[in-house]
Amino acid sequence: MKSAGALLLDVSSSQSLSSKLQRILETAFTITLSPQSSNHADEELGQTIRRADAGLIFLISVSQTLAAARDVIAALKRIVPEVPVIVALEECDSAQAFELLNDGAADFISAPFQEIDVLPRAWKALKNFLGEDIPGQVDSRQQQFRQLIGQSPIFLQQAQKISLIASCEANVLIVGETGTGKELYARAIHYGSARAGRPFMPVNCGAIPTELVENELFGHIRGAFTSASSLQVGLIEEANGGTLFLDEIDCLPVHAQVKLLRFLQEKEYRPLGSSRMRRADVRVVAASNLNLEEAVDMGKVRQDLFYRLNIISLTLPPLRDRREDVPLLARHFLAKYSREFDSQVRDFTEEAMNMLMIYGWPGNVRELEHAVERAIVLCNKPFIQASDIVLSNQALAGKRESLREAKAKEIERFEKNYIQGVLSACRGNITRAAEISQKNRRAFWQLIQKYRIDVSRFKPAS
Amino acid sequence: MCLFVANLDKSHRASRTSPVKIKAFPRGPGIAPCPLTGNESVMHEPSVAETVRAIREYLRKNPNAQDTQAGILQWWLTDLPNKPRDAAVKEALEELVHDGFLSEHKGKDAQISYRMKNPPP
Repeated sequence: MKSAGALLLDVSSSQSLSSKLQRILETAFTITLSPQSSNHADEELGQTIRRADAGLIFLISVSQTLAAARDVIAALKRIVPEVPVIVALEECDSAQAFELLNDGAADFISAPFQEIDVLPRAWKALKNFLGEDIPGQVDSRQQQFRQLIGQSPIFLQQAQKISLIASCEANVLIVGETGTGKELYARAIHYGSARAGRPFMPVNCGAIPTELVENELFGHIRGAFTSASSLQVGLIEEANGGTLFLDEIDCLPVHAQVKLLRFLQEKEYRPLGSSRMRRADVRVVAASNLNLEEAVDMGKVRQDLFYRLNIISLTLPPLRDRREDVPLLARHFLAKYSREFDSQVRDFTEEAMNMLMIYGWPGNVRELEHAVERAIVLCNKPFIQASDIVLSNQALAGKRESLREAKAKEIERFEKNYIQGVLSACRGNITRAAEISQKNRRAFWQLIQKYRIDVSRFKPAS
Repeated sequence: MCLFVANLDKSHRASRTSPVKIKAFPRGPGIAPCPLTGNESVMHEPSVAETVRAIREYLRKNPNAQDTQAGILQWWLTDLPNKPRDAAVKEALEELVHDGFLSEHKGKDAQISYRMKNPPP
Protein backbone atom coordinates (compact mmCIF):
# COMPACT_ATOMS: atom_id res chain seq x y z
CA MET A 1 0.00 0.00 0.00
CA LYS A 2 1.46 3.35 -0.96
CA SER A 3 1.56 6.19 1.52
CA ALA A 4 1.86 9.96 0.91
CA GLY A 5 3.55 11.36 -2.16
CA ALA A 6 7.26 12.03 -2.30
CA LEU A 7 8.96 14.66 -4.40
CA LEU A 8 12.42 14.11 -5.89
CA LEU A 9 14.39 17.30 -6.42
CA ASP A 10 17.67 16.83 -8.24
CA VAL A 11 20.50 19.36 -8.12
CA SER A 12 23.16 16.77 -8.91
CA SER A 13 22.55 16.29 -12.63
CA SER A 14 23.41 12.66 -11.94
CA GLN A 15 20.90 10.50 -13.77
CA SER A 16 22.20 7.33 -12.13
CA LEU A 17 21.68 8.59 -8.56
CA SER A 18 18.24 9.90 -9.33
CA SER A 19 17.05 6.78 -11.14
CA LYS A 20 18.40 4.43 -8.45
CA LEU A 21 16.57 6.31 -5.74
CA GLN A 22 13.41 6.56 -7.81
CA ARG A 23 13.32 2.78 -8.32
CA ILE A 24 13.47 2.21 -4.58
CA LEU A 25 10.94 4.84 -3.62
CA GLU A 26 8.41 3.85 -6.28
CA THR A 27 7.73 0.64 -4.36
CA ALA A 28 6.25 2.61 -1.49
CA PHE A 29 5.51 6.18 -2.59
CA THR A 30 3.81 8.06 -5.35
CA ILE A 31 6.79 9.82 -6.86
CA THR A 32 6.93 13.20 -8.54
CA LEU A 33 10.14 14.23 -10.25
CA SER A 34 10.86 17.91 -10.40
CA PRO A 35 12.08 19.14 -13.75
CA GLN A 36 15.85 19.30 -14.03
CA SER A 37 16.46 22.97 -13.47
CA SER A 38 19.06 25.09 -11.79
CA ASN A 39 16.43 27.67 -11.02
CA HIS A 40 14.68 26.64 -7.87
CA ALA A 41 12.96 29.91 -7.21
CA ASP A 42 10.55 29.91 -4.30
CA GLU A 43 7.45 30.35 -6.43
CA GLU A 44 8.35 27.57 -8.83
CA LEU A 45 9.31 25.27 -5.97
CA GLY A 46 6.08 26.02 -4.15
CA GLN A 47 4.03 25.15 -7.25
CA THR A 48 5.96 21.92 -7.75
CA ILE A 49 5.40 20.85 -4.15
CA ARG A 50 1.70 21.67 -4.20
CA ARG A 51 1.18 19.73 -7.43
CA ALA A 52 3.03 16.74 -5.97
CA ASP A 53 1.05 16.84 -2.72
CA ALA A 54 4.32 15.69 -1.18
CA GLY A 55 4.62 14.58 2.41
CA LEU A 56 8.32 13.96 1.92
CA ILE A 57 11.02 15.56 -0.22
CA PHE A 58 14.20 13.87 -1.40
CA LEU A 59 16.92 16.23 -2.51
CA ILE A 60 19.61 14.58 -4.61
CA SER A 61 23.06 16.08 -4.65
CA VAL A 62 26.74 15.38 -5.15
CA SER A 63 29.68 17.05 -3.35
CA GLN A 64 30.15 19.60 -6.12
CA THR A 65 26.55 20.77 -5.89
CA LEU A 66 26.30 20.81 -2.10
CA ALA A 67 26.13 24.61 -1.97
CA ALA A 68 23.15 24.55 -4.35
CA ALA A 69 21.55 21.82 -2.23
CA ARG A 70 21.91 23.94 0.87
CA ASP A 71 20.21 26.86 -0.93
CA VAL A 72 17.34 24.58 -1.89
CA ILE A 73 16.97 23.35 1.71
CA ALA A 74 16.80 26.97 2.86
CA ALA A 75 14.11 27.66 0.26
CA LEU A 76 12.14 24.57 1.25
CA LYS A 77 12.28 25.59 4.92
CA ARG A 78 10.76 28.92 3.89
CA ILE A 79 7.99 27.48 1.75
CA VAL A 80 7.08 24.21 3.47
CA PRO A 81 8.90 24.15 6.82
CA GLU A 82 6.88 21.20 8.10
CA VAL A 83 7.70 18.82 5.23
CA PRO A 84 10.77 16.69 6.00
CA VAL A 85 13.65 16.90 3.54
CA ILE A 86 15.98 13.93 3.17
CA VAL A 87 19.21 14.65 1.31
CA ALA A 88 20.52 11.84 -0.90
CA LEU A 89 24.24 12.18 -1.58
CA GLU A 90 26.82 10.32 -3.56
CA GLU A 91 29.22 10.62 -0.62
CA CYS A 92 29.34 12.76 2.46
CA ASP A 93 31.75 13.53 5.22
CA SER A 94 30.88 14.29 8.81
CA ALA A 95 31.28 18.07 8.51
CA GLN A 96 28.99 18.20 5.47
CA ALA A 97 26.47 16.00 7.27
CA PHE A 98 26.31 18.41 10.19
CA GLU A 99 25.92 21.36 7.84
CA LEU A 100 22.94 19.73 6.16
CA LEU A 101 21.30 18.79 9.45
CA ASN A 102 21.91 22.30 10.77
CA ASP A 103 20.30 23.73 7.65
CA GLY A 104 17.15 21.77 8.43
CA ALA A 105 17.49 18.45 6.63
CA ALA A 106 15.61 15.72 8.50
CA ASP A 107 18.08 13.02 7.49
CA PHE A 108 20.60 12.18 4.82
CA ILE A 109 21.53 9.01 3.00
CA SER A 110 24.63 8.25 1.01
CA ALA A 111 25.14 5.92 -1.92
CA PRO A 112 24.86 3.03 -2.47
CA PHE A 113 21.13 3.34 -1.81
CA GLN A 114 19.53 0.23 -0.41
CA GLU A 115 15.80 -0.28 -0.11
CA ILE A 116 16.23 -1.77 3.37
CA ASP A 117 17.92 1.46 4.46
CA VAL A 118 16.07 4.15 2.49
CA LEU A 119 12.47 3.10 3.07
CA PRO A 120 12.52 2.77 6.89
CA ARG A 121 14.16 6.19 7.09
CA ALA A 122 11.57 7.67 4.78
CA TRP A 123 8.74 6.22 6.83
CA LYS A 124 10.23 7.51 10.06
CA ALA A 125 10.53 11.00 8.59
CA LEU A 126 6.96 10.76 7.34
CA LYS A 127 5.75 9.68 10.79
CA ASN A 128 7.17 12.88 12.18
CA PHE A 129 5.44 14.86 9.45
CA LEU A 130 2.11 13.18 10.20
CA GLY A 131 2.57 14.08 13.84
CA GLU A 132 2.70 10.56 15.18
CA ASP A 133 4.23 10.26 18.62
CA ILE A 134 7.40 8.28 18.86
CA PRO A 135 7.11 6.06 21.96
CA GLY A 136 9.83 6.72 24.48
CA GLN A 137 11.36 9.63 22.62
CA VAL A 138 12.33 12.30 25.09
CA ASP A 139 12.23 16.00 24.60
CA SER A 140 15.75 15.83 23.34
CA ARG A 141 17.25 19.08 24.49
CA GLN A 142 15.80 18.96 27.96
CA GLN A 143 16.57 15.36 28.84
CA GLN A 144 19.85 15.05 27.03
CA PHE A 145 21.25 18.10 28.69
CA ARG A 146 20.18 16.79 32.08
CA GLN A 147 22.50 13.87 31.57
CA LEU A 148 25.39 15.73 29.95
CA ILE A 149 27.09 18.06 32.35
CA GLY A 150 29.22 20.98 31.37
CA GLN A 151 29.24 24.58 30.30
CA SER A 152 32.63 25.05 28.65
CA PRO A 153 32.55 26.07 24.97
CA ILE A 154 34.40 22.94 23.89
CA PHE A 155 31.87 20.72 25.68
CA LEU A 156 28.87 22.65 24.34
CA GLN A 157 30.20 22.45 20.80
CA GLN A 158 29.87 18.66 20.91
CA ALA A 159 26.82 18.39 23.14
CA GLN A 160 24.78 20.64 20.88
CA LYS A 161 25.26 18.21 18.03
CA ILE A 162 23.33 15.50 19.89
CA SER A 163 19.88 16.76 18.87
CA LEU A 164 20.89 16.90 15.22
CA ILE A 165 22.44 13.45 15.34
CA ALA A 166 19.44 12.00 17.15
CA SER A 167 17.05 13.36 14.53
CA CYS A 168 18.66 11.42 11.69
CA GLU A 169 19.32 7.73 11.17
CA ALA A 170 22.96 7.69 10.14
CA ASN A 171 25.54 5.54 11.89
CA VAL A 172 27.74 7.41 14.32
CA LEU A 173 31.35 7.15 15.40
CA ILE A 174 32.24 8.59 18.80
CA VAL A 175 35.90 9.09 19.51
CA GLY A 176 37.40 10.14 22.80
CA GLU A 177 39.87 9.12 25.46
CA THR A 178 38.82 6.62 28.07
CA GLY A 179 36.41 8.07 30.61
CA THR A 180 35.12 10.94 28.45
CA GLY A 181 31.54 9.67 28.37
CA LYS A 182 31.19 7.92 25.04
CA GLU A 183 28.44 5.59 26.29
CA LEU A 184 26.61 8.52 27.86
CA TYR A 185 26.55 10.32 24.53
CA ALA A 186 25.50 7.16 22.71
CA ARG A 187 22.50 6.85 25.01
CA ALA A 188 21.65 10.51 24.62
CA ILE A 189 21.53 9.94 20.85
CA HIS A 190 19.36 6.83 21.23
CA TYR A 191 16.85 8.30 23.67
CA GLY A 192 16.56 11.50 21.66
CA SER A 193 15.83 9.59 18.48
CA ALA A 194 12.86 7.83 16.96
CA ARG A 195 14.34 4.56 18.29
CA ALA A 196 13.95 5.61 21.92
CA GLY A 197 11.28 3.04 22.84
CA ARG A 198 13.33 0.20 21.39
CA PRO A 199 16.42 -1.61 22.70
CA PHE A 200 19.71 0.08 23.44
CA MET A 201 22.33 -2.69 23.38
CA PRO A 202 25.81 -1.73 24.57
CA VAL A 203 28.66 -4.12 23.75
CA ASN A 204 32.26 -3.81 24.78
CA CYS A 205 34.08 -5.44 21.88
CA GLY A 206 37.33 -5.43 23.85
CA ALA A 207 35.84 -7.47 26.68
CA ILE A 208 34.64 -10.38 24.55
CA PRO A 209 37.07 -13.21 23.73
CA THR A 210 38.04 -12.93 20.06
CA GLU A 211 36.68 -16.35 19.14
CA LEU A 212 33.25 -15.49 20.60
CA VAL A 213 32.70 -12.05 19.06
CA GLU A 214 31.11 -13.18 15.82
CA ASN A 215 28.74 -15.51 17.64
CA GLU A 216 27.84 -12.81 20.13
CA LEU A 217 26.97 -10.28 17.42
CA PHE A 218 25.32 -12.51 14.84
CA GLY A 219 24.10 -15.51 16.83
CA HIS A 220 24.02 -19.13 15.71
CA ILE A 221 21.57 -21.85 14.77
CA ARG A 222 21.31 -25.19 16.48
CA GLY A 223 24.10 -27.48 15.40
CA ALA A 224 26.28 -24.64 14.06
CA PHE A 225 29.16 -26.10 16.07
CA THR A 226 29.69 -28.87 18.60
CA SER A 227 28.26 -27.17 21.68
CA ALA A 228 25.48 -25.33 19.81
CA SER A 229 22.57 -27.32 21.21
CA SER A 230 20.04 -24.56 20.61
CA LEU A 231 19.43 -21.43 18.63
CA GLN A 232 21.12 -18.33 20.02
CA VAL A 233 19.93 -14.91 19.03
CA GLY A 234 22.74 -12.45 18.35
CA LEU A 235 22.96 -8.91 19.61
CA ILE A 236 22.04 -7.51 16.21
CA GLU A 237 18.70 -9.30 16.31
CA GLU A 238 18.18 -8.32 19.95
CA ALA A 239 18.75 -4.69 19.03
CA ASN A 240 16.31 -4.84 16.13
CA GLY A 241 14.50 -1.53 15.82
CA GLY A 242 16.89 0.08 18.25
CA THR A 243 20.53 1.02 18.66
CA LEU A 244 23.61 -1.17 18.91
CA PHE A 245 26.49 0.55 20.70
CA LEU A 246 29.84 -1.03 19.84
CA ASP A 247 32.42 0.26 22.27
CA GLU A 248 36.12 -0.31 21.52
CA ILE A 249 35.26 -1.04 17.89
CA ASP A 250 38.99 -1.21 17.16
CA CYS A 251 39.11 -4.47 19.15
CA LEU A 252 36.73 -6.23 16.78
CA PRO A 253 38.60 -9.05 14.99
CA VAL A 254 38.96 -8.65 11.25
CA HIS A 255 36.58 -11.46 10.29
CA ALA A 256 33.85 -9.87 12.42
CA GLN A 257 34.62 -6.49 10.83
CA VAL A 258 33.91 -7.96 7.40
CA LYS A 259 30.52 -9.25 8.51
CA LEU A 260 29.72 -6.01 10.29
CA LEU A 261 30.59 -4.04 7.16
CA ARG A 262 28.23 -6.16 5.11
CA PHE A 263 25.51 -5.56 7.66
CA LEU A 264 26.10 -1.81 7.58
CA GLN A 265 25.91 -1.81 3.79
CA GLU A 266 23.12 -4.30 3.17
CA LYS A 267 21.29 -4.41 6.50
CA GLU A 268 21.57 -8.20 6.36
CA TYR A 269 23.74 -10.81 8.06
CA ARG A 270 24.06 -14.58 8.42
CA PRO A 271 24.02 -16.27 11.86
CA LEU A 272 26.74 -18.86 12.31
CA GLY A 273 25.83 -22.13 10.71
CA SER A 274 22.86 -20.72 8.82
CA SER A 275 22.52 -20.63 5.05
CA ARG A 276 19.85 -17.95 5.19
CA MET A 277 20.47 -14.24 5.39
CA ARG A 278 18.51 -12.33 7.98
CA ARG A 279 17.65 -8.67 8.07
CA ALA A 280 17.57 -6.22 10.95
CA ASP A 281 16.84 -2.55 11.36
CA VAL A 282 19.56 -1.39 13.71
CA ARG A 283 21.36 1.90 14.08
CA VAL A 284 25.02 1.39 14.89
CA VAL A 285 26.86 3.78 17.16
CA ALA A 286 30.52 2.82 17.43
CA ALA A 287 33.14 4.20 19.78
CA SER A 288 36.87 4.08 20.21
CA ASN A 289 39.51 5.74 22.32
CA LEU A 290 41.99 5.38 19.50
CA ASN A 291 42.47 7.70 16.58
CA LEU A 292 40.77 5.37 14.09
CA GLU A 293 42.60 6.82 11.13
CA GLU A 294 45.81 5.63 12.74
CA ALA A 295 44.17 2.30 13.55
CA VAL A 296 43.40 1.98 9.84
CA ASP A 297 47.04 2.79 9.00
CA MET A 298 48.17 0.11 11.43
CA GLY A 299 45.80 -2.41 9.89
CA LYS A 300 43.72 -2.84 13.05
CA VAL A 301 40.55 -1.49 11.43
CA ARG A 302 39.43 -1.93 7.84
CA GLN A 303 39.35 1.30 5.91
CA ASP A 304 35.99 0.55 4.30
CA LEU A 305 34.45 -0.18 7.71
CA PHE A 306 35.87 3.09 9.04
CA TYR A 307 34.28 5.03 6.18
CA ARG A 308 30.93 3.35 6.78
CA LEU A 309 30.96 4.14 10.49
CA ASN A 310 32.37 7.64 10.12
CA ILE A 311 29.28 9.05 8.41
CA ILE A 312 28.74 11.20 11.47
CA SER A 313 31.51 11.54 13.99
CA LEU A 314 31.68 13.09 17.41
CA THR A 315 34.98 13.79 19.16
CA LEU A 316 34.68 14.13 22.90
CA PRO A 317 37.21 16.45 24.51
CA PRO A 318 39.43 15.20 27.33
CA LEU A 319 38.69 16.70 30.75
CA ARG A 320 42.00 18.59 30.78
CA ASP A 321 40.70 20.59 27.78
CA ARG A 322 37.57 21.58 29.67
CA ARG A 323 38.90 22.34 33.14
CA GLU A 324 36.21 24.93 33.78
CA ASP A 325 33.74 22.03 33.95
CA VAL A 326 35.62 20.32 36.80
CA PRO A 327 33.80 22.14 39.65
CA LEU A 328 30.41 21.43 38.07
CA LEU A 329 31.21 17.77 37.59
CA ALA A 330 32.83 17.42 40.99
CA ARG A 331 29.76 18.83 42.73
CA HIS A 332 27.46 16.63 40.68
CA PHE A 333 29.37 13.54 41.86
CA LEU A 334 29.48 14.94 45.39
CA ALA A 335 25.68 15.13 45.41
CA LYS A 336 25.37 11.64 43.98
CA TYR A 337 27.71 9.87 46.38
CA SER A 338 26.74 11.86 49.45
CA ARG A 339 23.27 10.52 48.87
CA GLU A 340 24.45 6.97 48.15
CA PHE A 341 26.57 6.81 51.31
CA ASP A 342 24.33 8.89 53.57
CA SER A 343 27.23 11.25 54.03
CA GLN A 344 27.28 14.67 55.68
CA VAL A 345 29.74 16.06 53.17
CA ARG A 346 28.49 19.28 51.61
CA ASP A 347 31.25 20.80 49.52
CA PHE A 348 34.97 21.06 48.80
CA THR A 349 37.41 23.44 50.43
CA GLU A 350 38.98 25.94 48.09
CA GLU A 351 42.31 24.11 48.33
CA ALA A 352 40.67 20.79 47.44
CA MET A 353 38.88 22.31 44.47
CA ASN A 354 42.11 23.90 43.23
CA MET A 355 43.76 20.51 43.44
CA LEU A 356 41.02 19.04 41.27
CA MET A 357 41.33 21.92 38.82
CA ILE A 358 45.06 21.58 38.19
CA TYR A 359 45.31 17.79 38.01
CA GLY A 360 45.76 16.34 34.51
CA TRP A 361 42.94 13.74 34.66
CA PRO A 362 44.36 11.08 32.36
CA GLY A 363 41.26 9.00 33.16
CA ASN A 364 38.98 11.97 32.47
CA VAL A 365 35.49 12.23 33.92
CA ARG A 366 35.42 8.65 35.15
CA GLU A 367 38.61 9.23 37.14
CA LEU A 368 37.13 12.41 38.61
CA GLU A 369 34.02 10.50 39.64
CA HIS A 370 36.09 7.82 41.40
CA ALA A 371 38.25 10.45 43.10
CA VAL A 372 35.17 12.21 44.50
CA GLU A 373 33.62 8.92 45.57
CA ARG A 374 36.82 7.96 47.42
CA ALA A 375 37.05 11.39 49.02
CA ILE A 376 33.52 11.14 50.40
CA VAL A 377 34.32 7.78 51.95
CA LEU A 378 37.52 9.14 53.53
CA CYS A 379 36.08 12.45 54.66
CA ASN A 380 34.35 12.75 58.02
CA LYS A 381 33.86 16.51 57.90
CA PRO A 382 31.33 18.69 56.05
CA PHE A 383 33.97 19.84 53.55
CA ILE A 384 36.34 17.66 51.56
CA GLN A 385 39.95 18.68 52.21
CA ALA A 386 42.85 18.37 49.81
CA SER A 387 44.18 15.58 52.03
CA ASP A 388 41.01 13.55 51.42
CA ILE A 389 41.63 13.49 47.67
CA VAL A 390 43.67 10.55 46.45
CA LEU A 391 44.79 10.82 42.87
CA SER A 392 46.14 7.90 40.89
CA ASN A 393 49.44 9.51 40.13
CA GLN A 394 50.41 12.05 42.76
CA ALA A 395 53.36 13.14 40.67
CA LEU A 396 50.95 14.59 38.14
CA ALA A 397 49.04 16.54 40.73
CA GLY A 398 50.05 20.14 40.65
CA LYS A 399 51.73 19.81 37.29
CA ARG A 400 50.38 22.14 34.70
CA GLU A 401 51.48 22.61 31.16
CA SER A 402 53.74 25.58 30.54
CA LEU A 403 52.56 28.21 28.08
CA ARG A 404 55.16 26.98 25.57
CA GLU A 405 53.98 23.34 25.85
CA ALA A 406 50.31 24.27 25.55
CA LYS A 407 51.04 26.56 22.60
CA ALA A 408 53.07 23.87 20.80
CA LYS A 409 50.22 21.40 21.19
CA GLU A 410 47.66 23.85 19.84
CA ILE A 411 49.87 24.66 16.85
CA GLU A 412 50.28 20.98 16.03
CA ARG A 413 46.57 20.40 16.30
CA PHE A 414 45.83 23.38 14.05
CA GLU A 415 48.44 22.35 11.47
CA LYS A 416 47.11 18.82 11.23
CA ASN A 417 43.47 19.95 10.90
CA TYR A 418 44.43 22.58 8.33
CA ILE A 419 46.34 20.13 6.14
CA GLN A 420 43.54 17.58 6.29
CA GLY A 421 41.02 20.28 5.40
CA VAL A 422 42.93 21.59 2.41
CA LEU A 423 43.66 18.07 1.13
CA SER A 424 39.96 17.29 1.39
CA ALA A 425 39.07 20.44 -0.54
CA CYS A 426 41.67 19.55 -3.23
CA ARG A 427 40.55 15.92 -3.31
CA GLY A 428 43.98 14.67 -2.40
CA ASN A 429 45.93 16.73 -4.92
CA ILE A 430 49.10 17.56 -2.97
CA THR A 431 50.45 20.08 -5.47
CA ARG A 432 47.25 22.07 -5.47
CA ALA A 433 46.93 21.84 -1.68
CA ALA A 434 50.50 23.13 -1.26
CA GLU A 435 49.75 26.07 -3.58
CA ILE A 436 46.67 27.05 -1.61
CA SER A 437 48.62 26.77 1.64
CA GLN A 438 51.40 28.90 0.12
CA LYS A 439 54.01 26.34 1.05
CA ASN A 440 56.43 24.66 -1.31
CA ARG A 441 55.45 21.14 -2.19
CA ARG A 442 58.37 19.50 -0.37
CA ALA A 443 57.63 21.29 2.91
CA PHE A 444 53.95 20.44 2.56
CA TRP A 445 54.80 16.78 1.98
CA GLN A 446 57.01 16.80 5.10
CA LEU A 447 54.07 17.99 7.15
CA ILE A 448 51.91 15.21 5.70
CA GLN A 449 54.53 12.71 6.80
CA LYS A 450 54.96 14.34 10.21
CA TYR A 451 51.27 13.91 11.00
CA ARG A 452 51.03 10.53 9.23
CA ILE A 453 48.15 11.69 7.07
CA ASP A 454 46.88 9.17 4.56
CA VAL A 455 46.43 11.23 1.39
CA SER A 456 44.67 8.42 -0.46
CA ARG A 457 41.54 8.79 1.65
CA PHE A 458 40.98 12.28 0.24
CA LYS A 459 41.21 11.14 -3.35
CA PRO A 460 37.96 10.41 -5.14
CA ALA A 461 37.03 6.73 -5.24
CA SER A 462 38.00 5.20 -8.54
CA MET B 1 21.88 23.45 30.07
CA CYS B 2 23.80 21.82 32.89
CA LEU B 3 22.79 19.87 35.96
CA PHE B 4 23.79 21.52 39.18
CA VAL B 5 22.18 19.81 42.10
CA ALA B 6 23.16 21.65 45.22
CA ASN B 7 23.56 25.23 46.28
CA LEU B 8 26.61 24.97 48.46
CA ASP B 9 27.84 28.52 48.28
CA LYS B 10 29.54 29.40 51.54
CA SER B 11 28.03 32.89 51.42
CA HIS B 12 24.65 31.38 52.21
CA ARG B 13 25.29 31.34 55.92
CA ALA B 14 22.54 32.83 58.04
CA SER B 15 23.52 35.50 60.50
CA ARG B 16 21.47 36.31 63.60
CA THR B 17 19.93 39.31 61.91
CA SER B 18 19.52 37.72 58.49
CA PRO B 19 15.99 36.90 57.42
CA VAL B 20 17.33 33.98 55.34
CA LYS B 21 16.29 30.65 56.73
CA ILE B 22 19.02 28.06 57.04
CA LYS B 23 18.29 24.92 55.13
CA ALA B 24 19.54 21.89 56.99
CA PHE B 25 20.81 18.93 55.00
CA PRO B 26 20.97 16.06 57.47
CA ARG B 27 21.37 13.50 54.72
CA GLY B 28 23.63 15.28 52.28
CA PRO B 29 23.16 18.20 49.92
CA GLY B 30 19.78 17.34 48.48
CA ILE B 31 17.37 20.18 47.96
CA ALA B 32 14.20 18.52 46.77
CA PRO B 33 11.23 18.86 49.11
CA CYS B 34 9.38 15.74 50.24
CA PRO B 35 6.19 15.51 48.14
CA LEU B 36 4.24 14.26 51.16
CA THR B 37 5.23 16.78 53.82
CA GLY B 38 6.75 19.58 51.76
CA ASN B 39 9.60 19.54 54.26
CA GLU B 40 12.62 20.96 52.51
CA SER B 41 15.03 19.63 55.08
CA VAL B 42 14.59 16.07 53.89
CA MET B 43 15.23 14.99 50.35
CA HIS B 44 12.70 12.46 49.18
CA GLU B 45 14.41 9.48 47.65
CA PRO B 46 12.33 7.08 45.64
CA SER B 47 11.91 3.78 47.44
CA VAL B 48 12.39 0.40 45.85
CA ALA B 49 8.60 0.11 45.49
CA GLU B 50 8.36 3.49 43.74
CA THR B 51 11.24 2.51 41.47
CA VAL B 52 9.50 -0.77 40.60
CA ARG B 53 6.33 1.14 39.73
CA ALA B 54 8.27 3.61 37.61
CA ILE B 55 9.98 0.83 35.63
CA ARG B 56 6.65 -0.94 35.09
CA GLU B 57 5.10 2.32 33.91
CA TYR B 58 7.96 3.00 31.50
CA LEU B 59 7.63 -0.48 30.01
CA ARG B 60 3.88 -0.13 29.77
CA LYS B 61 4.48 2.80 27.43
CA ASN B 62 7.60 1.31 25.80
CA PRO B 63 7.16 -2.48 25.87
CA ASN B 64 10.09 -3.11 23.50
CA ALA B 65 12.65 -1.08 25.44
CA GLN B 66 15.80 -2.76 26.69
CA ASP B 67 18.82 -1.39 28.53
CA THR B 68 21.32 -2.02 31.32
CA GLN B 69 20.88 -0.90 34.93
CA ALA B 70 22.86 2.27 34.26
CA GLY B 71 20.72 3.16 31.27
CA ILE B 72 17.52 2.41 33.13
CA LEU B 73 18.57 4.70 35.99
CA GLN B 74 19.51 7.52 33.61
CA TRP B 75 16.66 7.32 31.10
CA TRP B 76 13.67 5.24 32.23
CA LEU B 77 13.05 6.92 35.58
CA THR B 78 12.92 10.54 34.50
CA ASP B 79 9.30 10.86 35.68
CA LEU B 80 10.36 10.31 39.30
CA PRO B 81 10.92 13.61 41.15
CA ASN B 82 14.42 12.49 42.13
CA LYS B 83 16.80 9.80 41.02
CA PRO B 84 16.74 6.68 43.16
CA ARG B 85 19.96 5.27 44.54
CA ASP B 86 21.86 2.69 42.50
CA ALA B 87 21.09 0.12 45.15
CA ALA B 88 17.34 0.82 44.90
CA VAL B 89 17.38 0.35 41.13
CA LYS B 90 19.34 -2.88 41.48
CA GLU B 91 16.88 -4.19 44.03
CA ALA B 92 13.90 -3.12 41.91
CA LEU B 93 15.30 -4.93 38.88
CA GLU B 94 15.96 -8.08 40.90
CA GLU B 95 12.40 -8.00 42.18
CA LEU B 96 10.97 -7.58 38.68
CA VAL B 97 13.11 -10.43 37.34
CA HIS B 98 12.05 -12.62 40.25
CA ASP B 99 8.39 -11.78 39.58
CA GLY B 100 8.79 -12.80 35.94
CA PHE B 101 8.06 -9.32 34.62
CA LEU B 102 11.58 -8.72 33.31
CA SER B 103 14.08 -11.00 31.66
CA GLU B 104 17.84 -10.62 31.99
CA HIS B 105 20.23 -10.87 29.10
CA LYS B 106 23.84 -11.47 30.01
CA GLY B 107 26.37 -10.65 27.35
CA LYS B 108 29.80 -12.22 26.95
CA ASP B 109 31.23 -8.84 27.99
CA ALA B 110 29.50 -9.33 31.39
CA GLN B 111 26.97 -6.56 30.76
CA ILE B 112 23.42 -7.37 31.81
CA SER B 113 20.46 -5.79 30.08
CA TYR B 114 16.80 -6.02 30.98
CA ARG B 115 13.65 -6.17 28.91
CA MET B 116 10.02 -7.10 29.43
CA LYS B 117 9.70 -10.87 29.51
CA ASN B 118 6.41 -11.04 27.63
CA PRO B 119 5.82 -7.82 25.74
CA PRO B 120 2.35 -7.46 24.23
CA PRO B 121 2.20 -8.36 20.51
